Amino acid sequence: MPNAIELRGLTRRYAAKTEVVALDTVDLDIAEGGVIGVLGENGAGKTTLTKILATLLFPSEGSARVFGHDVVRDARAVRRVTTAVFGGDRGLYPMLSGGENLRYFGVLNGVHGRALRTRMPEVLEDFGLMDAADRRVETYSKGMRQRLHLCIGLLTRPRLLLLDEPTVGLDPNESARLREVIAGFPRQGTTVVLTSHNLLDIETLADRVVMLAHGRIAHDAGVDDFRRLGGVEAVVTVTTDGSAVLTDELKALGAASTPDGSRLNVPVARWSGEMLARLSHALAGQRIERLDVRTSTLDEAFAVASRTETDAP
Amino acid sequence: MHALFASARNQVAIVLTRATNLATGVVVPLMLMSLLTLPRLHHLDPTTATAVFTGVLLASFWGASLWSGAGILRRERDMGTLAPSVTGRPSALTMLLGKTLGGVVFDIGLIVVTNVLFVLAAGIRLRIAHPFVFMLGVIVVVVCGVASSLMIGALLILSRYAFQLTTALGTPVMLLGGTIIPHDVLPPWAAAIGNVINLAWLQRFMVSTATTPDWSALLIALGLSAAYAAVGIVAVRVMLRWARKEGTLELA
Repeated sequence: MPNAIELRGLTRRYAAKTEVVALDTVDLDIAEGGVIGVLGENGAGKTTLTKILATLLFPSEGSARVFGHDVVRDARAVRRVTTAVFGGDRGLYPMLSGGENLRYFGVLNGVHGRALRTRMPEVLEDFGLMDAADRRVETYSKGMRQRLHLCIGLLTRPRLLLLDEPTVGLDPNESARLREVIAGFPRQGTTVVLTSHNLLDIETLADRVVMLAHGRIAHDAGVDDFRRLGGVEAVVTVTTDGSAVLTDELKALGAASTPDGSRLNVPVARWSGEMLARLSHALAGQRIERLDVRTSTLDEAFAVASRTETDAP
Repeated sequence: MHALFASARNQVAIVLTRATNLATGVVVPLMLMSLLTLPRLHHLDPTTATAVFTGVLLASFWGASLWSGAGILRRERDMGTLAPSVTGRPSALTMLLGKTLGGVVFDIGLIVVTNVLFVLAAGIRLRIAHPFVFMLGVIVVVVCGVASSLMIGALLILSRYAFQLTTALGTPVMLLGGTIIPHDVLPPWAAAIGNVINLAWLQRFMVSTATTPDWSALLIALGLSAAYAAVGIVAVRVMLRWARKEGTLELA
C-alpha cells in the first residue's frame, strides 16, 4: 500500500527581488493513519507544504505524492482523497449565509444530496453554528468564520485531511471540542496533517512531529522524543519555608534556587529509579512545604529546537 | 451535474445580493426600450417592435454579462474563493461553467421579464411568427452568453487592467453587434468587424423569428460561440496553471 504522503526532493521557490526558497529538497514519508504535526517558525515552509499537498501550488522541483498520486500530473485524483482547511477571514462568500456557503463548498468536497442534508446539521451543531446558519457570513466573528471553515472541511471523511492552523480564532472550549473531533479521525481511517502554532494542538493530537526550519526538515520524531529535545523530561519545583540550600549535590543535578530561597527548581533529563533516588537524597534535609512535578512542554522543546536551528550556520 | 447545478445556484444567490445586477437587468433595458419605442409608439409596427425588443434584450444582456458573468473569476479571486472553487473534487471547468451559467440565466431572465412588462404596460404589439423558434433563440442566447462570459472572464483575469478593458470593450461591441444600431447602417468596415461578434448573428436570428427564421445566422452564432468557448477553456487552463506555478491562486 502506498504511503499517505511521499515527498522526494521537494523544493519550492518564490520569485521575488531575491529568490525565496520556501521548501528545500525535502524528503518525507508519512504512512497512512495517525496525526502528523508540522511545526516551524513563520516562513519555515509549513503552509507552502500544505498548499502543494492540496494542489494549490506546483513544486519548483522534486515530487509530492498523495496515496501514490502525483500532485501535479494527477491533481484530480489527489483532490478526490484530500480535504484541506486553511481557515482565515477569506475563502468564504461573505454575502451568503453560513448554510449557503456550507452547501456550496460541500458539493466541492464531493458531498451532495441526502448525505449533504444529513451531514450539514451535524457539523453545524458540532461547531455551534446551528443558530447562525441563516445569517450572512459578513456578520460572523473571526472565530465563527474559522468554525465555518472547519465545518466545510469536516463534512467529508477524506483519506487525507490537511489542517492549517485550525484553532486560530477559537476560544479554549471550541479548541478543545475541535481537538476531540480531530482525534477521532485516525480511527476512521483518515490521515491528518496538522500545521499549528498552537503546540497544545500538536501535543494533544499528534503521534509524530515534523519540524521545518528554513525549508528543510530539522526534526522528525515522535511527540515524546521531540519533547525531550528541550533537554529535560520534567522540572521538579520544591517550595520551602525560605530556607532552601543549593547544595553541591543539587548543583550537580542542575538545580537552581530563587534569590529568596523559597524555591528550588530541579530539571530531570529522564526519569529512572536511579534519578529518583538521587533526587530524594539531594533533597534530604530541605524543609519542604510543597513539591510539584511539571512535565516539560512542547513549547520548551520547540523553543530549544528553533534556537538550535537559528544558531546553526 | 450536482457540481454544475450547485455552482449555478451559488452564483444566482450571489447576484441576488448585488444591486448592480438590478441596474443592468432592469434599469438599462427600461431605459433603452423607452428611448427606442416611446417617441414613435403610435407608428411602431410589430416587426420593428420585435427587432427593438430583441435588440434591447441582447444589448442589455451584453452589458449585464460583461459586468456580472465576465467578472465572476475576478470577484472569486478577490474573495479568496477561487482557489477552493477550482481545486475541489469536480473539475474547475464544471464549476466555472456552472457559475457563468447561473449568472447568465439570472441576467437574461431579469431582462426578458423587464422587457415583457414594458411591452405589456406600453401596449406594444410584437410579431413573433414562430414562438418556439423564438424561445429556442433565447436558449441559444444563454448558451452563447456563457461562452462569451467564460472567454472574456478568463482573458481579463490574466490582465492587471481587467477593469479598464471591461469598460473599453462594452460600448464598441454593443454598437458593432448591431443590437442598437442596425447592421446595415454601419460602414462596411465596421459591419465586417461585427461579423465576428456572436451577438450580431444572434440579433439577426432573433429578428428573423418575426418572419422567416434565419437558421444560417443561428449556426454562425453557435460556431462563433464554440470558438469563444474554446478560447475561454484554454485561457482558464492557462490561468490556473500559471496561478499554481506562481503561487497566486489564492491571492487577491
